[in-house]
Order: sequence, then C-alpha cells, then structure tokens
Amino acid sequence: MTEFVSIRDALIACDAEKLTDEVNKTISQGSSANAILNDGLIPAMDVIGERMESGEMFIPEVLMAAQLMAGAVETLRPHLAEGSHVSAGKVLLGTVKGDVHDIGKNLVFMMLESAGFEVKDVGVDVPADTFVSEVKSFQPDILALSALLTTTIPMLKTTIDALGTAGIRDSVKIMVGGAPVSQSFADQIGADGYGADAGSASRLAKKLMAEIRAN
Amino acid sequence: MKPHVQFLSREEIGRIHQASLGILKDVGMRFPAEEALDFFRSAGAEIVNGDVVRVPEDLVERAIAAVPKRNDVVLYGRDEKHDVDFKGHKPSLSCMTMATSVIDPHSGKKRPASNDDLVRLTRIADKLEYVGVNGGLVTPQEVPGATNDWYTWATTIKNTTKHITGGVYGYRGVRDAIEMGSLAVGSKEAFLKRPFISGWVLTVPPLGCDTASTEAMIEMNRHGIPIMLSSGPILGTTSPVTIAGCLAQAHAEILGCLVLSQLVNPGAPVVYTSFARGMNMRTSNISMGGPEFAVLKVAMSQLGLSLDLPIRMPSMLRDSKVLDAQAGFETGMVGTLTSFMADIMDSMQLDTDMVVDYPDLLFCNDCMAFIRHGLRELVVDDHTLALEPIAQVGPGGNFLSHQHTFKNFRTELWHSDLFDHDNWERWESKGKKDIRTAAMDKVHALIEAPVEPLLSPDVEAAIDSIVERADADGAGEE
Repeated sequence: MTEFVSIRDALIACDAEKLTDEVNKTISQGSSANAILNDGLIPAMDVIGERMESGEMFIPEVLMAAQLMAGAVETLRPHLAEGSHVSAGKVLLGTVKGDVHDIGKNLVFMMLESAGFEVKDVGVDVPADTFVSEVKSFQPDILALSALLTTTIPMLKTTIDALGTAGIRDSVKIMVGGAPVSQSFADQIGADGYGADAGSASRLAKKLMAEIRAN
Repeated sequence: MKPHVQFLSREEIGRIHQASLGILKDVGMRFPAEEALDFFRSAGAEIVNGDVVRVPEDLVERAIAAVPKRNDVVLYGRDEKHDVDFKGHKPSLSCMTMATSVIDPHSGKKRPASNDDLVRLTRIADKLEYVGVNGGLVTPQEVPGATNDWYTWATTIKNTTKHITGGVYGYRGVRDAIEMGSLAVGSKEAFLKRPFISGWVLTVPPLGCDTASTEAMIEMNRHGIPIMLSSGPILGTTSPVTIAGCLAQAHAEILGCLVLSQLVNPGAPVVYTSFARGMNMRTSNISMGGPEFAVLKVAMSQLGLSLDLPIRMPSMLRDSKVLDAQAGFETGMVGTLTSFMADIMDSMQLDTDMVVDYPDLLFCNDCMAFIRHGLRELVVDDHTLALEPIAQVGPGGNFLSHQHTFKNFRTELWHSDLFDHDNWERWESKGKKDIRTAAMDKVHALIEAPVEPLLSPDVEAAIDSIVERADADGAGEE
C-alpha cells in the first residue's frame, strides 16, 4: 500500500495537478488500476472522512476531494477490471410533501455523493406516493427524507407509513433529517437513522450500509 | 475599507492636546528624582516647589519629533518569529501583569498565585497564537515581596521566547532585568541589539511620578528598552470626573514623561497606553470593565495615534469575578471597541486585574481571533466580487463545491477552536460543555504536556543567582 502514498497524499491535499500526474505516472509504471483505486484513492477518502470528523478538514475540501476522486476514477476506468465495484450504495433522496426547502437536502446530496454513494434526488415537495413508486423503480439501499418545518415533519411519518402499506418498508433503510427533527422523533416514527447535519449524513449512510451488509 | 471607531474629532484631539500642553506649562508635573530634575533643568524647564517641573511647549514638540514612530518600533521576541511591529494594524493580546490570585485549575478554588502558576501561565501564553506580548500574569505570593519583580522576570524569561513586559523597580530593577535578558541571549551586546523585554512606567496622577518609576524609566530609556508609558487617573478621584478633563490630564502626564525619555535618549522607544478608569462611587472599587472605560481607551488610543505611536490598552480586563456572561460582554464590548484603534490589548485577568482563571487565557485568545477576523479590511475587488463564480453557479446552484469556495473559505470564514457553533445534538454528544469547561479541557491538556526547557540549566542557574543576589542585597526596598 505504501507505493501509493504520493497518490494518497495528493488526494488528501486536494492537489489536482499532483494527483493527475501521480495517477498517470503510476499507471504507466504498470501498477494495476484496481490497486490504485483500492489501496490509494479509497483509503485517502477514508482519511479525509476521519479528518472531517475531527475538525481538521472542512466540507468544501471534502467536496473538492470527491471531485478529484471522481476525475481520477475516470482516468482509471479503461484500465479497471470488469465489474469493479465503486459505489458505496444507492440512496434515494428528497424533501417531503408540503416542504420546498432544499439547501440541507442538497448538502446531504453532495456529502453522500462525495462518500461514493450513487444518489438519486427526487427534489422537493414530494408526495408519499411518489417516494413509494421511486423506491420500487430505483431500488435504493437507503431512502433519505428531509423536512424543515414543524408543519411538515408529520409527512415524514406519512411517507414511512405509505411504504409500509405498499409492503416495501423493509426493502430500504430510512434516514431522516431537518432542523426540527431529532433522534427521539426519528425513533418515534420508525426511521432507521437520524442525521443532525449534512456533515454527519455520509457517516450515517455508511453505518446503515454496514447494517445492511451484516444481515 | 478598514473600520475605525472614534469618539474624538480631529478638532477635539487638537483641543485636548493644546489643553495638555497648557497643563504641563502652567501647572507642571512632579518628578521627585534628582537625575530627572537635572535633565529638565539643563533643557531649560522651570522647576518650582522643589520637584514640580513646568514643561515648556517647545520641549514637548521636540520630544514628539524625536520619539520613534509606529513604523520604527519593534517589540522584539527572544525568538524573532515572535517580533511584534506596528506597521499595519493587527491587534493582539498581551499578558496583563501582577494579579495576586488564581483559580486553581484542579480544585476550582481561588488561592494565592505561586511561582509554579507563573511558570504554567507563561508557558500557555507562549503557545497561544493571538498573544503577542507575554509577561507576569501573576506575581508569585510565596516569594519576598520586595523582590517579587525579580522572581517574575526570572520565571518569565525562562518560560517564553515572546516579548515580555514586566514591572521594574528603580535603576537596580532595570539593570538586573537587562542582566537576566543578556544571559538568555548570550551577551549584553546581543540583548541591547534586540531587547526582548519592556517595562511599565505608570505615572502617579494627578500630575506626578514616583521616584522609583522615574529612575526605572530613565534607565530603560538609556538602554533603549521600550517603555509602556501609562497615565491611569481615576475619574472624579485622581482626575476630573468628566472624560475630556481626564483625557487632557492623562495625555499631559504621558507627554511629561515622553519629554524626559527623549531628553535622556532621543529615539528611546515609547508605547502609548493608559489605565485611565472609573470608580464605583458607592464603594470606591475600581472599574475596568464599564462603558466609560471603553470610551477612555478608544479616546486615549486616538490621542496616542495622533502622535503616531504604538498603542497598548488594558481593554480586555473584566470587573466580573468569573468567566460568565458579564465577563463575556465586558470582553466583547471594551475589547472590541478598543481593538479598532489599539495594537496590543492587556487581557487574561478577572476581578479587574487581581485574579487569573486558567481557561480565561484560551477564552481571551479565541476572542482576539474573533475580533481580528471581524476587524479585517473588507476588500472589494474582482476576486472578492466573484462575478465569474456567480455566473458559473447560476440560479438555483450551489457554491459549496465551487473552486472559489474551496480556495477562499479558510481565510474568509472564522473557524473557532473554542466557541461552540455546532447544533444541539453535536454539542450534546461532545459533553454539553459551556465555554469555560471546553477551555478548561484544553488547559488540562496543556499543563499535563511535558515541558521542554527553553534555556540551558547553566543559564537558568545564572538567572536565578541574580534573584538571589537581589534578595541578599535587600533590593526593591525603599
């Protein structure tokens, strides 16, 4: 793993130029693209995640690193083995019916994408029925619901209940967030997880994915 | 533009300055020290009633011309990375000196300060980013009273490489402090080239100086040691109760000393400061946290700036006894207002200037980080207008992942180490700490970390022997 240390350092430092140079150089020297990905880039994103938790790195840097990571994966793609798995999981994301707030939801989108999730954003003011049909067609691992108003957080429960009625509640993990939402409210309505801010969304999603894989 | 706060117009500054010149010329100022009187007499000043000097205007004008201006003054650190200059305006903290008590960081109880406290506090101040000038935050109470300045010099010199301001008693106090400083840098010659210490000169209002302070000042001037020159009258007690009268008298006292400093050694560095303050008229307790204190500090800063001098003000002292909401408001109001105009802010003491609470050092440091960030020049140019990013992101987009945000957020936004900016859940998960508790955790980490000596054991022993010699000689006694 030590052979990819300069790739890791370049990504952690968000140094675009150096990362491109190092990736190209390492490929031309005959390293396997899968090894670069698995032993260079992904461990670097893990370090970045830890540094964000500890407060050393900030959201704009995590997002920049994610963009650079995506660019590096594009460079590697022709060399990657068939079926190389690069997605951390599938997430369906939206703001519930009656609520048009999207800043927090959009931040969660970026954070999840930066953590390697495949994310589909169904937007704002989304009726429970739409979430049901989207879950059926997109088949996410996680459904992430947002509500910002005390008047719209009941729609979180309505949406979860609608999934139950449709018989697909157990096909997804559900995470909820938004200013008036709390852990106890999330427990009350039968959600699987609660994120207090966008910064904790990707950690929560990873935790839920670990639960899925454990079962 | 860079923001400013002003209580005095240009005309009012001129009027106060003229009033101060008149006070010096017509009323005069006491300098009960033979050498001082000799300097004034030789310069042509009239001396009445034995030791009251009537200072003519032309002497003041010559002194103002001779004293080094902001661009030319440096408060040297023992390590040059800690040099403090006054070319721009970047306010920083200094250790207010001579508190007598600490809040014990383990028991939480107030007790007399010890030399061990001084070691720890000097070390913490040495590490804090926004402390520009170190000094004896506390005076050890277990050492002989007459020589406690000597102990304070020895301990601070051994425990910081930043510039140090301290109290100096008479000629001997200055000479011994110079000797200790010279030991720390290897020679007197090296020390005098970059003197890393400065000393207080506090007038005795109204319109006087005491003998030991006058002699200490003369000795510092002679060696080019910067003086922190303060007049600190008390409204309605040692000056008129009206702010303008207090300003005129305090400015006059500073000018009187300034004249002497430049007669002793033209070009001797002077930092303009003032402890002018109010008093609780119910109890006679001194106040350094009230609104009139803020006004006095800003106005005195304006008077000092009108002479193009570096400005130091004791504006982050708090009347509050504990690090509570009152202390926070006093820090925010007096500290912020003065920081618009002054360069160095004496801080990190509570109960006006009597008590040091360890976590307050980290609190004040973060307050200064906040203030420094808030008082920056607001730059309006192509880069900061960011028209290109605005067009690129477009309606409904998001700047968070834009290169412009990535490149600039660390400098544009303030990221506190101490102030809580989390949501409730995150704050709760981190232990629901108020700011004193959060700061106290950092204090424990700092005081439990291993301490590397900054000087060799031989040099430390030689510095200590100067203190022992002072004790043996009965230095510091009248």
